[in-house]
Amino acid sequence: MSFLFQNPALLGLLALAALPPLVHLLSRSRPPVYRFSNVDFLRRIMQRTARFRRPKDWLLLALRTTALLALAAAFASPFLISANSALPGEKSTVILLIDRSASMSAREGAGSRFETACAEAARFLAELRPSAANLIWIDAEPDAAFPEPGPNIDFLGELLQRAEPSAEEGALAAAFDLALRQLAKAGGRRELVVVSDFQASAWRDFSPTLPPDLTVRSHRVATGAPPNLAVTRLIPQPAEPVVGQEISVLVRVRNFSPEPVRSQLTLDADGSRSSQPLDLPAWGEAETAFVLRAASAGPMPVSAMLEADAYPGDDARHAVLRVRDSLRLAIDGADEAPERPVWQRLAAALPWIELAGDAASTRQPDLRFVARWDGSAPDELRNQALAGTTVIVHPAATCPPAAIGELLERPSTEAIASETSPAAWPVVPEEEHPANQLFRSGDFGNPFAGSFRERLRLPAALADGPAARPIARFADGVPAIVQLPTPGAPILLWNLALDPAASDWPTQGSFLPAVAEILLRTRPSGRSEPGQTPAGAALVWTSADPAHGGALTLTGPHGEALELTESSTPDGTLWQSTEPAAPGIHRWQVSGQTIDYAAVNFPDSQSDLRPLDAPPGFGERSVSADSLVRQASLARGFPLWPWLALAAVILLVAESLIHARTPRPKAA
Amino acid sequence: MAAYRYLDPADIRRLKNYEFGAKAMVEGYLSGRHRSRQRGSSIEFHEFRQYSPGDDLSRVDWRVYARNDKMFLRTFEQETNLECHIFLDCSASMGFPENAGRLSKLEYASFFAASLAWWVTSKNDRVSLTLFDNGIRRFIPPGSTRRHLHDLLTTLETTKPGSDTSLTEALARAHPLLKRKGTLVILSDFFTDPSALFTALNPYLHRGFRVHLFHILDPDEISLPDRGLSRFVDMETGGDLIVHPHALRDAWAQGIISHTRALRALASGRRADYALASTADSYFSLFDRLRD
Repeated sequence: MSFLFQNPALLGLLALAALPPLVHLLSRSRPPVYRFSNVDFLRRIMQRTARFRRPKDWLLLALRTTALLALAAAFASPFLISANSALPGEKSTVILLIDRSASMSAREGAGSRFETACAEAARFLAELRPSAANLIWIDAEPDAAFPEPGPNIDFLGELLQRAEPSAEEGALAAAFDLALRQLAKAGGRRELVVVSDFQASAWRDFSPTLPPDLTVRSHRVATGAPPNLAVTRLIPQPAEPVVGQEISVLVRVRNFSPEPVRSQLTLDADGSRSSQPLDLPAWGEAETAFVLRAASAGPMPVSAMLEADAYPGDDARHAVLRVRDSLRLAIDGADEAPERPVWQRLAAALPWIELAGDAASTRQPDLRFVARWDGSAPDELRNQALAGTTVIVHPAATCPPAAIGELLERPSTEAIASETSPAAWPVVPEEEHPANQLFRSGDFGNPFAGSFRERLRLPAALADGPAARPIARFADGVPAIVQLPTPGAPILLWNLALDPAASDWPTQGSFLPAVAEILLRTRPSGRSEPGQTPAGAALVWTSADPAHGGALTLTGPHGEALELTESSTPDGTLWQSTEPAAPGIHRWQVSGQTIDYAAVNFPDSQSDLRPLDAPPGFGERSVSADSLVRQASLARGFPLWPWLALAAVILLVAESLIHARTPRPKAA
Repeated sequence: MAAYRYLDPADIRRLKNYEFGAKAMVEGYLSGRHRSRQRGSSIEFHEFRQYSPGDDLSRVDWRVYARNDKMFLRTFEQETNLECHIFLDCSASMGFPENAGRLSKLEYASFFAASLAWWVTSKNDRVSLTLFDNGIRRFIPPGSTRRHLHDLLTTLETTKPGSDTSLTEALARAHPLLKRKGTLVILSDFFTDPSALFTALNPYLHRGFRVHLFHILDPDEISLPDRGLSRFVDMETGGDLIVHPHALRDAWAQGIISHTRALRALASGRRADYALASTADSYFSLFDRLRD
């Protein structure tokens, strides 16, 4: 704070303050003479009482002096102004950075945080009336009202009245960068006003680099953290199921409040709804699973919804499942391998298996069986697994152990030998593996019933590794089928003979369901949410189908038609939504028929509404403002003369009262 | 009677009904109304006593001698006149207040002294006047004639306040001047040490003087004046003091009360009469103290 005097020439009146002391001193030195009969008697009495009356005299003197000081200062018309404010006549440029990220839609009291921010910012601009101003929204893609700060303050006020919060994250760095670029061109006093809820999760680690001469005012509109429930994850497993396959949808819900909450969670899978109650601890989370099956192939929208609360944006989460009608199986290996016809018959018997020919001649298959693998190109096989293809490797007897070790990333020097046994080896399923779950009850018999007279003597350590999951073992412990996970799809090390000369298992009734279960249950299960479009981004659709031209439309979550732009690309025609995408399920439609869905989810970083304990400091010239309007008043200058005049009157009244309590003699 | 400044005809009319009653016997040379322990010739019989050689034969009661052949002298109580000695303080402090539109203490005391002098002489008693400040400025011996009264009144009119006060000194010097005991009326503001005052009065009291101490004070001395900060200048010494009278009023009043209380206590112990007279009040209250 600092003072500015409108009439500094009148500051000389402050010398009036010296009047009471001077009068006091002069009157003491030359008081009127009064001839009295006995002064000695008077002197003796005064010496006894003088010390008791001095304080009252000094109090009166102080009151009179202060009153005159206040009066003289009032004539000088002092203004109380903010230390960082522009001086009268100085050009000032103000840029308002207003947060309209999703958390600003939280309601506190009668209005939302965003309404409070806009109202405060509008009043601030109206009060301050800077030379030039601009408005920059903090959202996913910050933009400014003017290309550069302009004098049309009224327009900014109207803009603030019409504004709505977005359901997006706030790109803080981009917003500050835009503001600083605009301020760099401005002259005079420059000021940046940041109005936000200062949501802790977004602002905690944000520290922009600001020019030293820039004044930054930060105003926090959040007063607390309203209780909030949010659906934070929606994970279908598997991510790409086939028709009829059981799908497990994991839903994670978080409670952002200090009280335990019981709520109802509903899953909507393409119109089919199911609900589960959910108990959430304070500041905790809970996860539940819904099981469903897809009746038909194609995209299937899935939404998990909570009961609505005061912050409804994050009460639902959406995903689109890509239901496949079949999995493509590629059979590779030696042409004369007797296992190939077995797998071909298998593909023909299973409706959801489609033979894709050779792996080299087709695009990425879902399954790849390598018969009698001789140990060649283990890297290629591993990369294919990483890319999402379940690779089933049946090593040949001549396969070097190093190749197997390289494929599985488990170096091994133990020799692999083929061995036969006329008595055959029994194979025992691993009870814990999901592929054997169907047979656990015993109703469907032993999935590996049959005789296995030939095998490779693989080291048992292959099935006992930290990540290895054996599906079946020979009775003597030699691994029969081992699942080795990769970040993509698993690699299955197959050691069960399918040659009719070495095994009769393919002729057993359990063969087909056992292999089918193995193939389905070892499909990569999604650990993360399927691809989504972030809120605020544009939705894009590309199609080379000429039938889509001019007929493609995009429908929003509430059935509203969204505007699209169309452009040509080498891959076909590209359609793009012009408005930022709002959370929900969007439908791409041709002639009223939905051809695809797009899931747009609320940014989960916006669910924790707790603000920072205090607005962030932006350097030495930053001011944390409780009220922008008050700051504007101070910046314009707050006239102090009425208060000084009032103070003078009060002081004079006090002086009179004290004087009246002890009646003074008339003037000598 | 010529007009005198300090003698008001209204006062004279009022005083005509007053009787001066001396509490003590006085000695006088004029046979009169007042009893005296001096034996002399008068009509009041005192006692018989046997003749002694040398006695005045004219005072022998021949009737007693005729009856019992013994010579007895018939003695009478001598009736004599009263002598009133007025001591008037005319020091500078008695000139207070100056230019206040009311009587100064000296004027007030002069009025009383003039009336008292007229009253005493009107009864054929004698009155003296002693004007003093730090010594005796003027002494008019006792007298009862009209001429004497004229001199006395004229002296009062011409008297102005003088220098500083020394009442004890004045009493000491006046003592030899008073041949006969009588009534001693002292008019002063008594800004002096009470003990020293009564030490100076001791000779008078021993001689049987009837002593009246009339303490003359202005109202502004009884209670300090209601005025602002002032430089108080002593009328006798010229010393000064800057003071807010208002702040000292209570303490001053308390001081005056203590002072008068000390004077009254000492007077009571010495069978002297003490009275405080404000110049705002009528001085006839003082005559009441002289009538008893």
